Amino acid sequence: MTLNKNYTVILRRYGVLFALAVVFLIFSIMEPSFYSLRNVLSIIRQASITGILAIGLTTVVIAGEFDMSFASLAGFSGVLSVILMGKLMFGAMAAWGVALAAALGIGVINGLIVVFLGVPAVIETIGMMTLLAGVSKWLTDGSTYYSASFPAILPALGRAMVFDVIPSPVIIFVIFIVVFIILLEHTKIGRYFHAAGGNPEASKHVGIKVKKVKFISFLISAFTAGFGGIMLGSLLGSGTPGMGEGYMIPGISAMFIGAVFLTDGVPNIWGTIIGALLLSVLSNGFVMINLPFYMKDIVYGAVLIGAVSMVAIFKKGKIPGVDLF
Amino acid sequence: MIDNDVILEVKGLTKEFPGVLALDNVDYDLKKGEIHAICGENGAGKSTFCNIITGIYHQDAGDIFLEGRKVAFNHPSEALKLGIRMVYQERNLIPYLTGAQNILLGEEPIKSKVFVDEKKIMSIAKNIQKKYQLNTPLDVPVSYLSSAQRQSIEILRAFLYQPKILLLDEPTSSLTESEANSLFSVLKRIKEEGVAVVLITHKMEEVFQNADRITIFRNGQKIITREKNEITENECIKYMVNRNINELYPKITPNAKDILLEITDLSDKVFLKNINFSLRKGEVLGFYGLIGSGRTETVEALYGLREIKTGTIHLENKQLIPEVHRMMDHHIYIVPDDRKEKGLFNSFDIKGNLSVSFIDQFTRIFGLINKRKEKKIARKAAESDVLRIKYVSLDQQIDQLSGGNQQKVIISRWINQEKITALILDEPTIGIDVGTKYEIYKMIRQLAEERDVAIIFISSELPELTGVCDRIYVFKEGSINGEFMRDEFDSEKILEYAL
Repeated sequence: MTLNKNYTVILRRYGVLFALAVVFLIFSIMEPSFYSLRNVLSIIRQASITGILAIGLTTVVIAGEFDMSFASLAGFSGVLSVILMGKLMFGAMAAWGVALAAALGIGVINGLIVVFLGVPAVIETIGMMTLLAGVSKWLTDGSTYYSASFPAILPALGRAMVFDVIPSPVIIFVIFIVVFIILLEHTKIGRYFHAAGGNPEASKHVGIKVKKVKFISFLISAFTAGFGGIMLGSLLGSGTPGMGEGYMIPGISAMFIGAVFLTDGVPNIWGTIIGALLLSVLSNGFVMINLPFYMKDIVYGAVLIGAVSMVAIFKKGKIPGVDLF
Repeated sequence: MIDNDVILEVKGLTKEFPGVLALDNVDYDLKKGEIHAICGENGAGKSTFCNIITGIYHQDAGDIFLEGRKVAFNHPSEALKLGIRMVYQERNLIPYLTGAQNILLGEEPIKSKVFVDEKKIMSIAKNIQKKYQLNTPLDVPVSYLSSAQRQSIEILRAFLYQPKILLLDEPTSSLTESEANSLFSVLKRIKEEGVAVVLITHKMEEVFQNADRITIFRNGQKIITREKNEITENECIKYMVNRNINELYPKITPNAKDILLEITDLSDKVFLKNINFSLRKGEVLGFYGLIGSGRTETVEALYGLREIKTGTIHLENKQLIPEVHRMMDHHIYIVPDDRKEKGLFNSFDIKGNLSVSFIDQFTRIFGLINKRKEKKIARKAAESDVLRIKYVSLDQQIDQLSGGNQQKVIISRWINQEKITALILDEPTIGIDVGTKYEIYKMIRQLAEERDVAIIFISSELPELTGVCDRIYVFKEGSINGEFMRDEFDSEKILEYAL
């Protein structure tokens, strides 16, 4: 009896990891080249931008808010960085710096309006998402922007190989993981994110400045979105309106898939990373076994629905951020 | 003869939750037309018992007989159908529906086969209200009602269908004295009509004033069932806690020193009017008043948790701006009234719930947390002699603790601080068992007398204020209506000022 209960707990807590392993195994059996080092690194590379964006989203949700604009913001920041390089002849570093600063500026606006005016986060950030999509179209005139005069270093963040084998996004992803695990689980501000999202009233009573904490979480989400965006610009070597938007559903899905990992429905960084990897394994595997093009959307949608359903089943109390709907 | 009177009989009821035997082979019987009180400390199994009787949980072993027939409930609706009704806490009302609409929720009369008959809803609700004389507005959304009025709506809802068995879990916790009295007169009336009432409460006076029989639970076991006049209040408490409590309150050695806080002309934007008071070092100051009289609002305004319109606060003759972090900088701490809503972090374990107030003590450069030190600090706070918390592991989730131990966790955040000048305790003993209450009273006196801490103790239970405080302010309708020194304490007079 007790043994059974333990198995259920283990299955529930590590179920997502288990699912990742099973899916990986199935694809490996169907297509042996699937588990080659090259392909595994490629899967992680594909997961990296989704993962970085989702890590920022996870931070906001842990702090009890939500950010629907992250993917659109990534697109905007990517477009802006390549336009600065191509049209205004900025150096790569300067263009990336300006794009990141612009993204942080958007984070400031999101944070001010949501936290200090008290507008529901989901609604405000849907507005920002739409607005930024428009700005990206404006900047690119509605089509893919490419210039022959892009600096040679442009591909460094998205397409370069380190030691000839490891894709640069993988390295960046790992750095983000390490930084965010430390930030959220081993620092004071990280603890405050959990507290403010878990019980804002109780947080006030122990002296936590809840508004400030939530505001900072929006800045962090904007930063990861901005960074993911310049990586995207670097990967594509061009700027296309809508290039960030495709990351919205995977990003949100990764966060919700992760919410049932280890915890009872609370989003967390490790879970989000596993969620991003799971989605990447699925989409990579689909290509390998030649599933029709529409299968990816169908499966991604089903996975998102399944993930939030799992959260609803296992959650204890409120899901931070999500009761805003 | 006696057997005919028994409406509900329970034999060998057992329920196990992971790690806890919540009910252990419990026998119980309930007669028609009696008020049967169930008493016990938190975690004694009272709530689990109710949840099984009403079909919310299913027992692991044991049988339930309703009017002599064995019943098994798979769903709460099955118990409802058989006339078993439970009065829930006010939170089960739909805020934007009116009182009448809430009372008839799910039972709405229909006209022309489609439309809800609002007129009939109102008339049915009014009839029930008239019958039971609980005066509460029925035509406004319940979100506009006070918590006492909402509780009345809950109770009227239970009377909609003349229940055979009515279970009430701490029904008076948000009622004023007079509302509680009218509730009990209603209960006595329906008892005459043959309804069996199960009353769960911590308040011993209520039990002895209203119950016919008393059953005591302890650690999931039924200890005894007695006719009310066969047992005394002290015996009851002894059975509940399994030890002798010689005194309900600790010994008091007055220790009030210089004035620490001076509050002048405090008003907020809603209803606090010109609050003036002072608090001395080493003094236990009681705030008494009905719920909604302005006690909680006053400390919230003082503590920067509520916007103020006018008012100045002086801390040892220096003006202090009422902001949470400034209060904390001066080592003034608060234990809020609503444990669940304002106190606990459900996503944290016991350790995190304890350490949250000590975070600067284990934070290093770059805001990095030293988890080993955190655990050490949390353990020290949990095992302090002043207030010892009963726990299995610091990594346990906080919701696995009983209400009393959860409250101890929240209080321990502050009383183990190296420096503490003042402590505000808002209803610290609500929903807590007798044994833990005594520990909290002792802790209050100890802080005041040994560490010169100034204490504001807010409570709706007058006996505990007169038992523990050096001085009491009485609140009424947003202002202070009276002040009593310890040698002037007179329950009737204090109550007069509050009403």
